[in-house]
Amino acid sequence: MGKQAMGNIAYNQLSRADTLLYLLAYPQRPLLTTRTIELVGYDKLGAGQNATVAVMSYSGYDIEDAIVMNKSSLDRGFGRCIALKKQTVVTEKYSNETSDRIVRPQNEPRKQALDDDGIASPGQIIRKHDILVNKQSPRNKRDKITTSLGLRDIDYAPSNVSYKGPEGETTVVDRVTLYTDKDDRMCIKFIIRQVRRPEIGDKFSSRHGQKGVVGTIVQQEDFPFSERGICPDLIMNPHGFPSRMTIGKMIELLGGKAGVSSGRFHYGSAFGEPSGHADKVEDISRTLVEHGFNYTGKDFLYSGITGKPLQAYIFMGPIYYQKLKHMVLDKMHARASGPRMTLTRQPTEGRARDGGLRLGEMERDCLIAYGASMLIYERLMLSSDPYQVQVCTKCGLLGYYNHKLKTSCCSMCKTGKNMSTMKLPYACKLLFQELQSMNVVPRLKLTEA
Amino acid sequence: MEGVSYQRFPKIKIREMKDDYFKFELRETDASMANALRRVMIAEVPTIAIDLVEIEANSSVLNDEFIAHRLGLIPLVSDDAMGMRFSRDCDACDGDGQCEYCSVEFHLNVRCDSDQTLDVTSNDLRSTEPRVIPVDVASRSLASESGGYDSQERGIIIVKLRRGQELRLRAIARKGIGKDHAKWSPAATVTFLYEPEIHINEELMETLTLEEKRSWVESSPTKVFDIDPDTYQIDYRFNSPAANWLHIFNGLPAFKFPLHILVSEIPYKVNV
Repeated sequence: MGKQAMGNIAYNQLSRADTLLYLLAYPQRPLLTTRTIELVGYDKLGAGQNATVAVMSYSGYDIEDAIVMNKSSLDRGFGRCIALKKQTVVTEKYSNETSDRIVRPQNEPRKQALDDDGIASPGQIIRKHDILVNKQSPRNKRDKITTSLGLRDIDYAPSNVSYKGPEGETTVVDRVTLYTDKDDRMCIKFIIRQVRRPEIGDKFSSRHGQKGVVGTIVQQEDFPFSERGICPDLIMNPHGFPSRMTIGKMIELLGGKAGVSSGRFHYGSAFGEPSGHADKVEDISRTLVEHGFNYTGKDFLYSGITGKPLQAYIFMGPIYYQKLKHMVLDKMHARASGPRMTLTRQPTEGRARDGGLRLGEMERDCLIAYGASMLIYERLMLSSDPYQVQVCTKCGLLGYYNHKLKTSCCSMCKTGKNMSTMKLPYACKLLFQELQSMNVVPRLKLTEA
Repeated sequence: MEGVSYQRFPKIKIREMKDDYFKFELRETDASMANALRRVMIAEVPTIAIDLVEIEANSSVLNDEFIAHRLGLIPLVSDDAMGMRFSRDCDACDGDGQCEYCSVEFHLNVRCDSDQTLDVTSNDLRSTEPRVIPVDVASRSLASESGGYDSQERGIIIVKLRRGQELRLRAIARKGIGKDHAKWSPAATVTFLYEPEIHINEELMETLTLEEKRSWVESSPTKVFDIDPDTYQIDYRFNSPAANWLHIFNGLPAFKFPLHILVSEIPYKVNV
């Protein structure tokens, strides 16, 4: 419904080529709508599923808006989504009238997804680093070709295009499209598909802005159940209600429950409607009572673990839940050692560049306050950008190490007499040099350590 | 060593048994026993379900994983499940899960050549083992033997095909338990309820007029009580879902009578 919710986006959703498209496997129409939603046609394209929600505390993995999910519901397709990603490959044309070429693959590793035409075929399961297009580029892209025969095989260097996605999930080539762009280059568009079931950390939301991540996934037999055999799909913590005052969600629960028991889509406007088409909470409660439920929408539940009745009656019923596009699979990131920036020699930033996790200023402040100086030393220098420099103790400037003479030397004093070796962050050395280039002279005053 | 024995001898009385519904009384034990039964029924009774799908051709609107998931959820007749091996401890195929002791093969080969949309259903699944077939197919063939066969009955829809679309696949069904995946769970739901022991305070009840008695009986949404047409006494209807008694207890606005006088207690008696 909103911008982040998954569902059907359009009737042509399976023939489109969006860069990123998330679809829900089994979208549903909300049990409880409003007249406005119907008039606008918002319920024509499903954007979520009607989940039976029990408002109770369970397991402690539901604090801070987290939700507890029923594993059997997930097995049956609740919250299952299809992620479609686009990857485009262009066969380049060069100024010397040569161009990239796509060749038939030999029996090589990482090329099992390729067809005989050198392009991955639809339906192939691919893994990280698998090659999608067996492309080769000419080694010489500038000079005119002199031989009449054109380029030979050795004149080409491989320039394969591979899939760079997360490992773990099965990824499939969904569609392959060939076309020429405005510069008359042949392009290949791959739509790559993943079918995902919800996992811990995936974000869900009801239509009242009550968003939360999956805190834990629990087996159905451990879930509470009612005497009718109803077992919730998810459990939401009641602490979400008092401060946020989402009365609408409670009305939705009541109306949804009345809706399923009477087989009718209800309206959930807060005050009903003068025309009598919409239902007031009173009417909804009456419907509930007619079908043998309590008028407050609370149910008598048993603990699935002990089999004993729960101490309180549980507010339980269907609420339209949306799966939001923020999924852990796309976000999780960790790094031990990895790439560094060339300029500062510090670790790169961000998940896309396999970056490090920053020990920021506030974290640094904590360590200073605690007095963990060796830890700061390690985090800020040893694990980041350590660099060994030669310092002239006389002029305080950085010298250099002469590998031929195996001595260090100060280029200012033209002597190697007063040199000493020390470690400092490369970024610090860089700063000194940049300052020097601006006629500011930073001098180091060293004391014996 | 003479220990005290806490062994119990629960009694089971079957109240109702249909193909898809089973109701029984469990007596002389406590809730832990009933709950253990419930948990085992949901999660640990082995059944057979499609576990591996090899798709040869699929030009339908649904993708391969989608169809595989739908196939997995089709319930299969699992009478042979106890004689079957789990593929993980099958010696005959080294855990390959493709031998006759631990798997059943299915084939599906459908192509739509008409202008009408073709429903691919569980009827189209061809099993290599006649005893392992989709349950809806089995119940229909059973019904046709007894004469009451409804040919219009459709199977479980897997996918719909348009003209020119095709679905061809090989599926392997294996034995499994509901703990691993809900598709192996044999029951839609399992629940139990304590049997309420209801004592009607006749003395107090006599003070009510017939009109009051009627409205008292009416006020129960699930009609737990009845008025005896001869004696005008209030009876408890034993076949009504007694569970809802507890809902009444929670206090309906329409319920104005002092319930606590009429109901003495609700003891622990398990009635599954």
